[in-house]
Amino acid sequence: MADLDVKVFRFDPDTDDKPRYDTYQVTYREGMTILDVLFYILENLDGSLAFRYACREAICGNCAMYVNGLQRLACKTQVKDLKTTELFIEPLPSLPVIKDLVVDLDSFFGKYVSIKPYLIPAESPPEKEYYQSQSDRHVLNEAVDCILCGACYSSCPAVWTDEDYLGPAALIKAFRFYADSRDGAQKERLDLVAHEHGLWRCHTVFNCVEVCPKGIDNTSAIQYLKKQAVGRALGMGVGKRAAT
Amino acid sequence: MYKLQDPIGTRNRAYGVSGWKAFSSGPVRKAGMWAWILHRISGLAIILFLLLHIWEISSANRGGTNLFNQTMAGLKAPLYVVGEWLLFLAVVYHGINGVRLVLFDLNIGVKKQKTLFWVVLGLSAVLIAAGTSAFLSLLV
Ligand code: SF4
Ligand code: FES
Repeated sequence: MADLDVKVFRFDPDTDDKPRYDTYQVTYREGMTILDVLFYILENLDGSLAFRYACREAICGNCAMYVNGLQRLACKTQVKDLKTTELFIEPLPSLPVIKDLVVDLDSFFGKYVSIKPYLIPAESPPEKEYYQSQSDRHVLNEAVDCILCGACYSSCPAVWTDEDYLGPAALIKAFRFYADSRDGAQKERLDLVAHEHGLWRCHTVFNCVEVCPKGIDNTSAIQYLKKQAVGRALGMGVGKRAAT
Repeated sequence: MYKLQDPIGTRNRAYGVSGWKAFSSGPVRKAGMWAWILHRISGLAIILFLLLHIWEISSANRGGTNLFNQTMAGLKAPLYVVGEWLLFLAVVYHGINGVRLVLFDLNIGVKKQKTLFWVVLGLSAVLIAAGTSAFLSLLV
Protein backbone atom coordinates (compact mmCIF):
# COMPACT_ATOMS: atom_id res chain seq x y z
CA MET A 1 0.00 0.00 0.00
CA ALA A 2 1.21 3.46 -0.87
CA ASP A 3 1.61 6.28 1.61
CA LEU A 4 -1.52 7.67 3.12
CA ASP A 5 -2.99 11.04 2.39
CA VAL A 6 -4.65 11.98 5.67
CA LYS A 7 -6.95 14.97 6.08
CA VAL A 8 -7.63 15.78 9.71
CA PHE A 9 -10.21 18.15 11.15
CA ARG A 10 -8.50 20.84 13.24
CA PHE A 11 -10.30 23.30 15.46
CA ASP A 12 -9.53 25.04 18.69
CA PRO A 13 -12.64 27.05 19.64
CA ASP A 14 -10.58 29.28 21.93
CA THR A 15 -8.34 30.60 19.17
CA ASP A 16 -9.81 29.64 15.78
CA ASP A 17 -12.75 31.29 14.08
CA LYS A 18 -13.57 28.24 12.08
CA PRO A 19 -12.33 24.71 11.58
CA ARG A 20 -9.77 23.75 8.95
CA TYR A 21 -8.45 20.51 7.52
CA ASP A 22 -4.73 19.74 7.75
CA THR A 23 -3.24 17.22 5.35
CA TYR A 24 -0.52 14.81 6.45
CA GLN A 25 1.52 12.25 4.52
CA VAL A 26 1.68 9.10 6.62
CA THR A 27 3.86 6.10 5.87
CA TYR A 28 1.69 3.02 5.80
CA ARG A 29 2.74 -0.12 7.54
CA GLU A 30 0.95 -3.44 7.62
CA GLY A 31 -1.67 -3.68 10.35
CA MET A 32 -2.01 0.05 10.82
CA THR A 33 -5.21 1.26 12.48
CA ILE A 34 -6.65 4.76 12.34
CA LEU A 35 -5.36 5.26 15.86
CA ASP A 36 -1.87 4.28 14.67
CA VAL A 37 -2.19 6.88 11.94
CA LEU A 38 -2.99 9.52 14.55
CA PHE A 39 -0.03 8.42 16.69
CA TYR A 40 2.19 8.65 13.63
CA ILE A 41 1.05 12.23 13.04
CA LEU A 42 1.43 13.12 16.70
CA GLU A 43 4.95 11.69 16.97
CA ASN A 44 6.39 12.66 13.60
CA LEU A 45 4.44 15.48 12.04
CA ASP A 46 2.37 17.56 14.43
CA GLY A 47 2.48 17.37 18.22
CA SER A 48 -0.46 19.72 18.62
CA LEU A 49 -3.11 17.29 17.40
CA ALA A 50 -5.67 16.42 20.08
CA PHE A 51 -7.55 13.13 20.16
CA ARG A 52 -8.83 10.81 22.83
CA TYR A 53 -7.94 7.17 23.40
CA ALA A 54 -7.05 4.86 26.24
CA CYS A 55 -7.32 1.12 25.76
CA ARG A 56 -6.31 0.74 22.09
CA GLU A 57 -8.42 -2.41 22.00
CA ALA A 58 -12.02 -1.36 21.44
CA ILE A 59 -13.12 -1.60 25.04
CA CYS A 60 -12.90 1.87 26.58
CA GLY A 61 -15.01 3.67 23.99
CA ASN A 62 -12.81 6.76 23.95
CA CYS A 63 -11.70 6.84 20.36
CA ALA A 64 -14.96 7.02 18.43
CA MET A 65 -14.61 9.45 15.52
CA TYR A 66 -15.88 10.09 12.04
CA VAL A 67 -13.59 8.30 9.59
CA ASN A 68 -14.30 8.39 5.87
CA GLY A 69 -17.94 9.17 6.39
CA LEU A 70 -18.85 6.81 9.19
CA GLN A 71 -18.68 6.81 12.97
CA ARG A 72 -16.00 4.27 13.89
CA LEU A 73 -13.56 3.38 16.65
CA ALA A 74 -10.13 4.60 15.56
CA CYS A 75 -8.40 1.71 17.31
CA LYS A 76 -10.63 -0.94 15.77
CA THR A 77 -10.59 0.36 12.21
CA GLN A 78 -7.90 -1.10 9.98
CA VAL A 79 -6.68 1.35 7.35
CA LYS A 80 -6.57 -1.58 4.93
CA ASP A 81 -10.31 -2.18 5.34
CA LEU A 82 -11.12 1.32 4.12
CA LYS A 83 -9.72 0.30 0.74
CA THR A 84 -8.32 3.75 -0.02
CA THR A 85 -5.18 5.71 0.76
CA GLU A 86 -7.15 8.91 1.23
CA LEU A 87 -8.37 9.27 4.78
CA PHE A 88 -10.73 11.86 6.25
CA ILE A 89 -10.66 11.98 10.03
CA GLU A 90 -13.18 14.17 11.80
CA PRO A 91 -14.69 14.41 15.29
CA LEU A 92 -18.05 12.78 15.95
CA PRO A 93 -20.68 14.79 14.08
CA SER A 94 -23.37 16.70 15.96
CA LEU A 95 -21.35 16.98 19.17
CA PRO A 96 -19.60 20.16 20.36
CA VAL A 97 -15.87 20.16 19.63
CA ILE A 98 -13.51 20.77 22.52
CA LYS A 99 -10.40 20.58 20.36
CA ASP A 100 -9.64 18.85 17.06
CA LEU A 101 -11.01 15.31 17.36
CA VAL A 102 -12.11 15.62 20.97
CA VAL A 103 -15.83 16.21 21.46
CA ASP A 104 -17.85 17.16 24.50
CA LEU A 105 -19.77 14.09 25.66
CA ASP A 106 -21.47 15.76 28.63
CA SER A 107 -24.93 15.55 27.12
CA PHE A 108 -24.33 11.94 26.14
CA PHE A 109 -23.27 10.85 29.62
CA GLY A 110 -25.83 13.09 31.33
CA LYS A 111 -28.57 11.23 29.51
CA TYR A 112 -26.93 7.91 30.33
CA VAL A 113 -26.95 8.78 34.03
CA SER A 114 -30.56 9.95 33.82
CA ILE A 115 -31.87 6.45 33.03
CA LYS A 116 -30.35 5.13 36.30
CA PRO A 117 -27.80 2.73 34.86
CA TYR A 118 -27.46 0.54 37.93
CA LEU A 119 -29.29 -2.39 39.44
CA ILE A 120 -32.32 -1.51 41.57
CA PRO A 121 -33.35 -4.80 43.18
CA ALA A 122 -36.91 -5.40 44.35
CA GLU A 123 -35.97 -6.89 47.72
CA SER A 124 -33.00 -6.37 49.97
CA PRO A 125 -29.85 -7.94 48.56
CA PRO A 126 -29.29 -11.66 49.18
CA GLU A 127 -26.67 -12.92 51.63
CA LYS A 128 -24.34 -14.10 48.91
CA GLU A 129 -24.53 -13.23 45.21
CA TYR A 130 -27.56 -12.75 43.02
CA TYR A 131 -28.40 -15.80 41.03
CA GLN A 132 -29.03 -15.26 37.35
CA SER A 133 -29.64 -18.18 35.05
CA GLN A 134 -27.74 -18.47 31.80
CA SER A 135 -30.86 -17.91 29.76
CA ASP A 136 -31.74 -14.79 31.76
CA ARG A 137 -28.23 -13.50 31.21
CA HIS A 138 -28.42 -14.33 27.54
CA VAL A 139 -31.11 -11.65 27.04
CA LEU A 140 -28.61 -9.00 28.14
CA ASN A 141 -25.65 -10.18 26.08
CA GLU A 142 -25.67 -7.38 23.53
CA ALA A 143 -26.73 -4.56 25.84
CA VAL A 144 -23.96 -5.37 28.32
CA ASP A 145 -21.39 -5.08 25.55
CA CYS A 146 -22.02 -1.36 25.00
CA ILE A 147 -18.82 0.59 25.70
CA LEU A 148 -20.51 4.03 25.65
CA CYS A 149 -18.43 5.28 22.77
CA GLY A 150 -21.12 7.62 21.45
CA ALA A 151 -20.92 6.44 17.83
CA CYS A 152 -24.62 5.59 17.73
CA TYR A 153 -25.58 8.84 19.42
CA SER A 154 -23.66 10.84 16.87
CA SER A 155 -25.21 8.99 13.92
CA CYS A 156 -28.84 9.43 14.97
CA PRO A 157 -30.96 12.01 13.11
CA ALA A 158 -33.33 12.18 16.09
CA VAL A 159 -30.38 13.31 18.23
CA TRP A 160 -29.47 15.89 15.59
CA THR A 161 -32.85 17.57 15.79
CA ASP A 162 -33.81 17.07 19.44
CA GLU A 163 -31.13 17.98 21.94
CA ASP A 164 -33.15 16.37 24.72
CA TYR A 165 -33.51 13.00 23.02
CA LEU A 166 -31.95 10.31 25.20
CA GLY A 167 -30.40 8.58 22.20
CA PRO A 168 -29.67 4.93 21.40
CA ALA A 169 -26.98 4.29 24.03
CA ALA A 170 -29.00 5.53 27.01
CA LEU A 171 -31.99 3.57 25.75
CA ILE A 172 -30.06 0.34 25.32
CA LYS A 173 -28.83 0.74 28.88
CA ALA A 174 -32.42 1.33 29.98
CA PHE A 175 -33.24 -1.95 28.28
CA ARG A 176 -30.23 -3.61 29.85
CA PHE A 177 -31.60 -2.99 33.35
CA TYR A 178 -35.28 -3.25 32.50
CA ALA A 179 -34.72 -6.74 31.13
CA ASP A 180 -32.38 -7.84 33.92
CA SER A 181 -33.97 -10.68 35.88
CA ARG A 182 -32.53 -9.27 39.12
CA ASP A 183 -33.93 -5.78 38.68
CA GLY A 184 -37.10 -4.67 40.43
CA ALA A 185 -37.68 -1.15 39.14
CA GLN A 186 -39.34 -1.89 35.83
CA LYS A 187 -42.14 0.60 36.33
CA GLU A 188 -39.80 3.43 37.20
CA ARG A 189 -37.48 2.54 34.32
CA LEU A 190 -40.31 2.65 31.82
CA ASP A 191 -41.39 6.05 33.17
CA LEU A 192 -37.86 7.33 32.63
CA VAL A 193 -37.86 6.49 28.92
CA ALA A 194 -41.48 6.39 27.71
CA HIS A 195 -41.84 10.06 26.79
CA GLU A 196 -41.47 12.28 23.79
CA HIS A 197 -37.71 12.74 24.26
CA GLY A 198 -37.27 9.05 24.96
CA LEU A 199 -38.61 5.97 23.20
CA TRP A 200 -41.09 7.82 21.01
CA ARG A 201 -38.41 9.99 19.46
CA CYS A 202 -36.83 6.93 17.82
CA HIS A 203 -37.98 6.79 14.20
CA THR A 204 -36.32 3.45 13.44
CA VAL A 205 -33.69 4.90 11.14
CA PHE A 206 -31.18 2.18 12.11
CA ASN A 207 -28.07 4.37 11.76
CA CYS A 208 -27.12 3.37 15.30
CA VAL A 209 -27.21 -0.30 14.39
CA GLU A 210 -25.06 0.35 11.33
CA VAL A 211 -22.29 2.18 13.17
CA CYS A 212 -22.10 0.39 16.53
CA PRO A 213 -18.57 -1.04 16.80
CA LYS A 214 -19.90 -3.72 19.12
CA GLY A 215 -22.57 -4.88 16.70
CA ILE A 216 -25.39 -4.03 19.09
CA ASP A 217 -28.92 -4.03 17.75
CA ASN A 218 -30.11 -0.88 19.53
CA THR A 219 -33.31 -0.62 17.56
CA SER A 220 -34.59 -4.04 18.58
CA ALA A 221 -34.12 -3.11 22.22
CA ILE A 222 -35.86 0.24 21.73
CA GLN A 223 -38.76 -1.40 19.90
CA TYR A 224 -39.04 -3.94 22.70
CA LEU A 225 -39.32 -1.14 25.25
CA LYS A 226 -41.85 0.69 23.09
CA LYS A 227 -43.98 -2.41 22.99
CA GLN A 228 -43.73 -2.77 26.76
CA ALA A 229 -44.78 0.86 27.21
CA VAL A 230 -47.75 0.47 24.89
CA GLY A 231 -48.73 -2.75 26.64
CA ARG A 232 -48.71 -0.95 29.94
CA ALA A 233 -50.71 2.00 28.62
CA LEU A 234 -53.33 -0.44 27.33
CA GLY A 235 -53.63 -1.88 30.81
CA MET A 236 -51.81 -5.10 30.09
CA GLY A 237 -49.38 -4.35 32.89
CA VAL A 238 -45.63 -4.24 32.60
CA GLY A 239 -44.96 -7.20 30.40
CA LYS A 240 -42.88 -10.16 31.31
CA ARG A 241 -39.28 -10.16 30.29
CA ALA A 242 -38.48 -11.75 27.01
CA ALA A 243 -35.60 -12.01 24.62
CA THR A 244 -35.54 -9.43 21.88
CA MET B 1 -35.36 14.13 31.76
CA TYR B 2 -31.88 15.35 30.90
CA LYS B 3 -31.37 19.03 30.17
CA LEU B 4 -28.22 20.45 28.63
CA GLN B 5 -26.45 22.16 31.53
CA ASP B 6 -24.25 24.38 29.49
CA PRO B 7 -25.06 24.81 25.82
CA ILE B 8 -21.71 25.67 24.33
CA GLY B 9 -22.80 28.36 21.90
CA THR B 10 -20.50 28.55 18.90
CA ARG B 11 -18.90 25.25 19.76
CA ASN B 12 -22.20 23.49 19.34
CA ARG B 13 -22.25 21.55 16.13
CA ALA B 14 -25.82 20.34 16.42
CA TYR B 15 -26.66 19.03 12.99
CA GLY B 16 -30.36 19.52 12.63
CA VAL B 17 -31.75 18.59 9.26
CA SER B 18 -28.48 19.56 7.58
CA GLY B 19 -27.11 16.29 8.92
CA TRP B 20 -29.07 14.48 6.25
CA LYS B 21 -26.55 15.43 3.62
CA ALA B 22 -23.75 13.80 5.55
CA PHE B 23 -25.44 10.52 4.81
CA SER B 24 -24.63 10.17 1.17
CA SER B 25 -22.18 7.29 1.04
CA GLY B 26 -22.93 3.60 0.90
CA PRO B 27 -26.63 3.17 0.09
CA VAL B 28 -26.71 -0.42 1.32
CA ARG B 29 -25.31 0.41 4.72
CA LYS B 30 -27.67 3.32 5.00
CA ALA B 31 -30.83 1.64 3.77
CA GLY B 32 -32.68 2.57 6.96
CA MET B 33 -31.67 6.21 6.57
CA TRP B 34 -32.86 6.31 2.98
CA ALA B 35 -36.12 4.65 3.93
CA TRP B 36 -36.64 7.30 6.56
CA ILE B 37 -35.68 10.28 4.39
CA LEU B 38 -38.02 9.10 1.63
CA HIS B 39 -40.74 8.60 4.22
CA ARG B 40 -40.30 12.15 5.51
CA ILE B 41 -40.21 13.74 2.07
CA SER B 42 -43.23 11.81 0.83
CA GLY B 43 -45.05 12.67 4.05
CA LEU B 44 -44.35 16.38 3.59
CA ALA B 45 -45.49 16.13 -0.03
CA ILE B 46 -48.75 14.56 1.07
CA ILE B 47 -49.35 17.34 3.63
CA LEU B 48 -48.67 19.92 0.93
CA PHE B 49 -51.22 18.19 -1.28
CA LEU B 50 -53.76 18.19 1.54
CA LEU B 51 -53.45 21.98 1.86
CA LEU B 52 -53.80 22.46 -1.90
CA HIS B 53 -56.75 20.09 -1.87
CA ILE B 54 -58.55 22.05 0.83
CA TRP B 55 -57.92 25.27 -1.05
CA GLU B 56 -59.21 23.78 -4.29
CA ILE B 57 -62.37 22.25 -2.76
CA SER B 58 -63.10 25.42 -0.81
CA SER B 59 -63.45 27.24 -4.12
CA ALA B 60 -67.09 26.16 -3.85
CA ASN B 61 -67.38 28.27 -0.71
CA ARG B 62 -65.50 31.17 -2.16
CA GLY B 63 -67.19 31.41 -5.56
CA GLY B 64 -70.01 28.88 -5.71
CA THR B 65 -70.58 26.37 -8.50
CA ASN B 66 -68.97 28.49 -11.17
CA LEU B 67 -65.63 28.93 -9.48
CA PHE B 68 -65.61 25.29 -8.42
CA ASN B 69 -66.21 24.08 -11.98
CA GLN B 70 -63.59 26.48 -13.27
CA THR B 71 -61.04 25.25 -10.73
CA MET B 72 -61.75 21.64 -11.57
CA ALA B 73 -61.37 22.33 -15.28
CA GLY B 74 -58.09 24.13 -14.64
CA LEU B 75 -56.75 21.08 -12.83
CA LYS B 76 -56.86 19.08 -16.05
CA ALA B 77 -53.76 20.92 -17.28
CA PRO B 78 -50.71 18.65 -17.80
CA LEU B 79 -48.81 20.38 -15.01
CA TYR B 80 -51.40 19.21 -12.48
CA VAL B 81 -51.51 15.72 -13.94
CA VAL B 82 -47.74 15.48 -13.44
CA GLY B 83 -48.18 16.84 -9.92
CA GLU B 84 -50.84 14.25 -9.26
CA TRP B 85 -48.53 11.56 -10.51
CA LEU B 86 -45.84 12.74 -8.08
CA LEU B 87 -48.46 12.61 -5.34
CA PHE B 88 -49.23 9.06 -6.43
CA LEU B 89 -45.53 8.12 -6.02
CA ALA B 90 -45.49 9.68 -2.58
CA VAL B 91 -48.67 7.96 -1.41
CA VAL B 92 -47.57 4.56 -2.69
CA TYR B 93 -44.18 4.70 -1.00
CA HIS B 94 -45.45 6.31 2.18
CA GLY B 95 -48.24 3.76 2.53
CA ILE B 96 -46.13 0.69 1.92
CA ASN B 97 -43.21 1.85 4.02
CA GLY B 98 -45.79 2.76 6.65
CA VAL B 99 -46.66 -0.92 6.90
CA ARG B 100 -42.95 -1.68 7.37
CA LEU B 101 -42.85 0.82 10.24
CA VAL B 102 -45.99 -0.54 11.87
CA LEU B 103 -44.42 -4.00 11.79
CA PHE B 104 -41.38 -2.57 13.59
CA ASP B 105 -43.64 -1.08 16.23
CA LEU B 106 -45.03 -4.56 16.81
CA ASN B 107 -41.38 -5.60 17.11
CA ILE B 108 -41.68 -7.71 13.98
CA GLY B 109 -38.91 -7.83 11.39
CA VAL B 110 -36.68 -5.27 13.09
CA LYS B 111 -33.61 -7.36 12.35
CA LYS B 112 -34.74 -7.73 8.73
CA GLN B 113 -35.21 -4.03 8.13
CA LYS B 114 -33.00 -3.85 5.05
CA THR B 115 -34.67 -6.76 3.31
CA LEU B 116 -38.02 -5.19 4.16
CA PHE B 117 -36.86 -1.90 2.66
CA TRP B 118 -36.07 -3.64 -0.63
CA VAL B 119 -39.46 -5.34 -0.48
CA VAL B 120 -41.08 -1.92 0.03
CA LEU B 121 -39.19 -0.53 -2.96
CA GLY B 122 -40.12 -3.57 -5.08
CA LEU B 123 -43.82 -3.39 -4.23
CA SER B 124 -43.81 0.36 -4.79
CA ALA B 125 -42.18 -0.08 -8.18
CA VAL B 126 -44.82 -2.62 -9.26
CA LEU B 127 -47.71 -0.40 -8.14
CA ILE B 128 -46.16 2.67 -9.69
CA ALA B 129 -45.61 0.91 -13.01
CA ALA B 130 -49.23 -0.25 -13.00
CA GLY B 131 -50.58 3.18 -12.06
CA THR B 132 -48.42 5.22 -14.39
CA SER B 133 -50.20 3.99 -17.51
CA ALA B 134 -53.42 5.48 -16.15
CA PHE B 135 -51.71 8.86 -15.80
CA LEU B 136 -50.27 8.60 -19.30
CA SER B 137 -53.74 8.10 -20.71
CA LEU B 138 -54.81 11.31 -18.95
CA LEU B 139 -52.00 13.20 -20.61
CA VAL B 140 -52.64 12.12 -24.21
S1 SF4 C 1 -24.50 1.09 21.54
FE1 SF4 C 1 -22.63 0.71 20.34
S2 SF4 C 1 -22.27 2.67 19.26
FE2 SF4 C 1 -23.69 3.11 20.93
S3 SF4 C 1 -22.38 3.80 22.65
FE3 SF4 C 1 -22.73 1.56 22.90
S4 SF4 C 1 -20.99 0.59 21.87
FE4 SF4 C 1 -21.03 2.72 21.16
S1 FES D 1 -8.91 3.44 22.43
FE1 FES D 1 -10.37 2.41 23.71
S2 FES D 1 -11.96 2.00 22.29
FE2 FES D 1 -10.43 2.80 20.99
